[in-house]
Amino acid sequence: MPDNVAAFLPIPNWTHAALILQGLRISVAELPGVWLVSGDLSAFGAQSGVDAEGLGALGQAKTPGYALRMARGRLMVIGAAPPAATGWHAAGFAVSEVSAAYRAFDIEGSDLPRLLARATTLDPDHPGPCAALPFGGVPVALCRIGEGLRLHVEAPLAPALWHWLAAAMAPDLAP
Amino acid sequence: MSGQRIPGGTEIDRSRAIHFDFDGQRIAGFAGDTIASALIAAGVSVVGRSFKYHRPRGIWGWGPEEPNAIVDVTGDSHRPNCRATLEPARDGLTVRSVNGWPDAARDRLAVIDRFARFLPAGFYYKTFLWPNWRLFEPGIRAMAGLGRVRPGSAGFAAQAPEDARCDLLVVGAGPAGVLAALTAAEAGRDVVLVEQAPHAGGSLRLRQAQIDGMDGAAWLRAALARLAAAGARVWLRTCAFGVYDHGLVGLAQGVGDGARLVRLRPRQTILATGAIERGLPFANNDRPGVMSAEAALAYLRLQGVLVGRRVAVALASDAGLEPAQALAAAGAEVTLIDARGAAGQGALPCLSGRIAAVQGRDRVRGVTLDSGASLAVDTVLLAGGHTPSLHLYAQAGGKPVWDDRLGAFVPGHDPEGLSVIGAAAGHLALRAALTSAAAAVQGTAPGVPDAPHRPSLAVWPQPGMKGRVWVDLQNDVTAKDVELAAREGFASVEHLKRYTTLGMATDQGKTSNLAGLALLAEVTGRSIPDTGTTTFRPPFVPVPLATLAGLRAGPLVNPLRRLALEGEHRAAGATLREAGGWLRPAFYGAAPEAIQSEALQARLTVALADASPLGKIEIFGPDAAAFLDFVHYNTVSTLSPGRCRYVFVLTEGGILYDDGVLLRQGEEHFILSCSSSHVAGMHAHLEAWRQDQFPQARVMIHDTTPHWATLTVSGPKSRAVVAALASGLALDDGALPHMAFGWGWFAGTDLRVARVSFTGDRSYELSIRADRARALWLALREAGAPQDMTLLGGEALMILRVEKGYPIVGIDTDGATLPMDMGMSAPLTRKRADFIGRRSLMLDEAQRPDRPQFVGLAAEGAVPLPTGAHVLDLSGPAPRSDGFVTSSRFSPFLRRPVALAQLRGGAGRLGERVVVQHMGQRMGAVIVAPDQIDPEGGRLNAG
Repeated sequence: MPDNVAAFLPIPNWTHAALILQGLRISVAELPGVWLVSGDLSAFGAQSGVDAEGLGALGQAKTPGYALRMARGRLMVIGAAPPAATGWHAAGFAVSEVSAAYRAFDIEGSDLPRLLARATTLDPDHPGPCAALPFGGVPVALCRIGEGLRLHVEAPLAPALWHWLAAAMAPDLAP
Repeated sequence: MSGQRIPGGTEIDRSRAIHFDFDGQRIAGFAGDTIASALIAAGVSVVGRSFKYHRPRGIWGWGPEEPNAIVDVTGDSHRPNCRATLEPARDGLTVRSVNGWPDAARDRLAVIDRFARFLPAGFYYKTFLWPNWRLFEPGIRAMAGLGRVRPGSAGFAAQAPEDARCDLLVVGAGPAGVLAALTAAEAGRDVVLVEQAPHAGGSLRLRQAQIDGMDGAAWLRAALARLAAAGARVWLRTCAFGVYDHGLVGLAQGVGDGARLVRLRPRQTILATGAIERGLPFANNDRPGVMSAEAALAYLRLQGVLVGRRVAVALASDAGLEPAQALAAAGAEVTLIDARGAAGQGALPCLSGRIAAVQGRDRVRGVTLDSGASLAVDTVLLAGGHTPSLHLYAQAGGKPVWDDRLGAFVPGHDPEGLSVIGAAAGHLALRAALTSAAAAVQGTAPGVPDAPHRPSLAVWPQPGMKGRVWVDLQNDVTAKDVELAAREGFASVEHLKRYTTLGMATDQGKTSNLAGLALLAEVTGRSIPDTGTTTFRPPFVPVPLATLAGLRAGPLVNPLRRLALEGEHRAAGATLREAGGWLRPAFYGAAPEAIQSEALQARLTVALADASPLGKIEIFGPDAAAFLDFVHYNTVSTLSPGRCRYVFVLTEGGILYDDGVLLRQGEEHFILSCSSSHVAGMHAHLEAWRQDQFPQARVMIHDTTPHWATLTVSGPKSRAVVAALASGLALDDGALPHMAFGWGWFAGTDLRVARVSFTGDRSYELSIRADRARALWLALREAGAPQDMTLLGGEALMILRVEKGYPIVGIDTDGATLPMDMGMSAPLTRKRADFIGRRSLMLDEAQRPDRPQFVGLAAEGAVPLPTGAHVLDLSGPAPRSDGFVTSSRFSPFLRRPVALAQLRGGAGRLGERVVVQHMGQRMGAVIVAPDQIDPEGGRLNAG
């Protein structure tokens, strides 16, 4: 039986991981807490004080707390405290904690437009209302943070995306 | 052909000499040469062997239309089936001809050509059948194909595809394309101009011209400078290979190593893709030394290569005059042969008529005209007219129309957002091409002197031509093959293509399609437009799979999910394997002993496994119970909070899609633990039916799988291990019976403890947030040590579940398996609520008593039955399959093999001895119930 361990790229040490590429710097961001909210977002917003609209792709997030629009009637809320108790709310929405489900990468640098062109089919001039999109073949939630971008990726897929970023933004081959 | 290097050449750098190897011969060249130009300059005449007949072949063209010069190129990587006319010659390359053994010049299979009469089009439908096709198949397969893959070599370098947008895309940087792009860019539009060659210019690169009083090359230089100043993006070595839905254009950017895929979304596209020179029909028109007149001009002007010394130029178009004059000026002895009749073409000798045949085998030695006259020449250049390149236009939905004057198809109506200009639109003269370009962008055409010319003559192959007249060089299709196809009833041009393979080679019939369908038209008594064309499909040129794959290769081929505890598994000596989209421990230690040891220990004491990939999809809302009743085969609304139920999910066809365990957290809150490999599918399935069938405000679905790690403790000692965690949860069977769950604590974190078993033994599934899992794992290992706990990998788990008869959907079921086949019939008769698949289960087919049913097999002997082996029905004159083995392992606990199977009417055949066959070997087995270890279920509560 072949041992495939060597065939798989290692999981980065997330505590220290950083990618310094030509025109880009990628680092791991600490997320305080993450919750999924679905249902009557207006009711949720009224109860929690969270912006019920949520940011779309390339929306500008303001730390420490922000909300991303994941689908019709679904938000991902990032913040230090739960926006509401987990479970079903009679007002018409449901809340699940997923704080351990995601890792976040912050990306800065002059080559951000090229990264977006290689990772997504997003039209930067018309990014749309949804922050959820495929990025390098992996589902992410994307927003702007500061001068750069923040990717929220499912933790089990974070290594794959990390290695994709390193490969995709490696120096171009000489013609 | 007797090519040589002469002074000149606008695109080579004589200060940078290069050398490469071609079939063991050292070839000298310069930077700026293509492999083709360097080979011609070195006097190489045979560069390949034809696909079927192994005839010697030379270089025909100078671009992607090249049918013969296919080579394998090895540099930093190995790339098979490259076109020598497009590949830059680089220092140190190793270039090999294809389809010749040992090489093209000395091919020992050339003898096949002597048997050509037995190998017409479609011969494989009629020959090599007796006594058995399989006798001939290996040899024929070995001879098929062109280049060779080298599995151990680095292939094309991977580059991530890019998305791009623009206002106007212009395809082709010839004069028409450059003018259109320039006019649009200077009007403020965002323009991308793409050109597959390494230099812009198209015909201006090789033909003399006067534009706005300037030399064509000077006009081009100035136009390109203005383009750059206007901010246009000009991408050279970039081929637009396809037009797709909504105007998306696929580009392959960069030939040679590592072409990058660019998906361009233009608002508008202008095709200035030019036209391809046609050959002429005559006997042995495939010999090395017969080539396109335009190609000869290109090699002369661009690389300073004179293709021959004594040259016959066969004209059906004035486009051949400039090549003839240029070669004569460079020192070649040139004779014109004009199919339109000699009409004073200046100083060059000109004969009226057509070539009837070429003499020579490995190279041209002379020609015979239809008048009977002969000429001693070493090169024959053909100027048979031009065929507009309409591939992208047709891909975009455009319908070509026939132009009798041109003898070619030209664009009809423009599809939305796309237009065609220049030679591609049938405007072959420079003045007309530039006028059409200007009109397309509301611009002004530059001044071009009028150039009177004689009309071209379309010369098609005719029925009954003497000798072997090639129509498709790359796939070795002759005029006789086209006539044969028509005789055999393949009168449709699509059937002609498939029967003869005309147009199906890597050149996609660029130099052959029109000639073939013209002949078919003649033979079948139709006009060319009535005969029509085949369908144009992308890609326009071969695109490496690596370009389309981008980075999806090697470790990045599929994003693999990684466990939070992977580090712990590696530290424990696990061998990790891909399973269900995750990298998971298969076993700990050395196989196969470790696997058997883990499985045995799990039955004797206790085992710890990482089951984190199991799905955890939460369903909420007042209608959640009704929704889940609808989605599942089983009734679930009667489940009490704190209880679990094993459930099936069916497709609308009643087929088993997934199984899982449903947990009821509360009146309006459920958790579905679906199969690890089906999480995304189940989530999508649930969401689709939620949106389709239920008020969306009353059912919500969250996939929380990646938030949780799940550790399974299984075996007679499992309760003792879990109890050592002191989670605060009562673990006695009264408080926590099998198929119940509760919540406790571990290190200040919520811990869900569920009594669910995939092994058949007492088992606890402990779920904790994934970023706190390591502490739990270490605590369990510590608690398990006194209980002689083993770590359990996926391979051992498979043994345990096969012993217990627990199926895996997709392994023990297939695309036809119904729940009743698995022994689950009660819901069909008792469930009141409607559910997905119900009606399909009522069909006669679903109710047949002899359907394949899920059973166990106890093999006779010590060797496990092979998975996939067939259980035989020997009652008839010949053996038939009664079913097959779906899972099979050796059980260390039972000390014998155990297997599961799908068997016709199996449930009613327990105890029957059957014969199992695999790869010609037969074995005996007895049909048993699937659960071969604990049919009473006592082990679920033992310990």
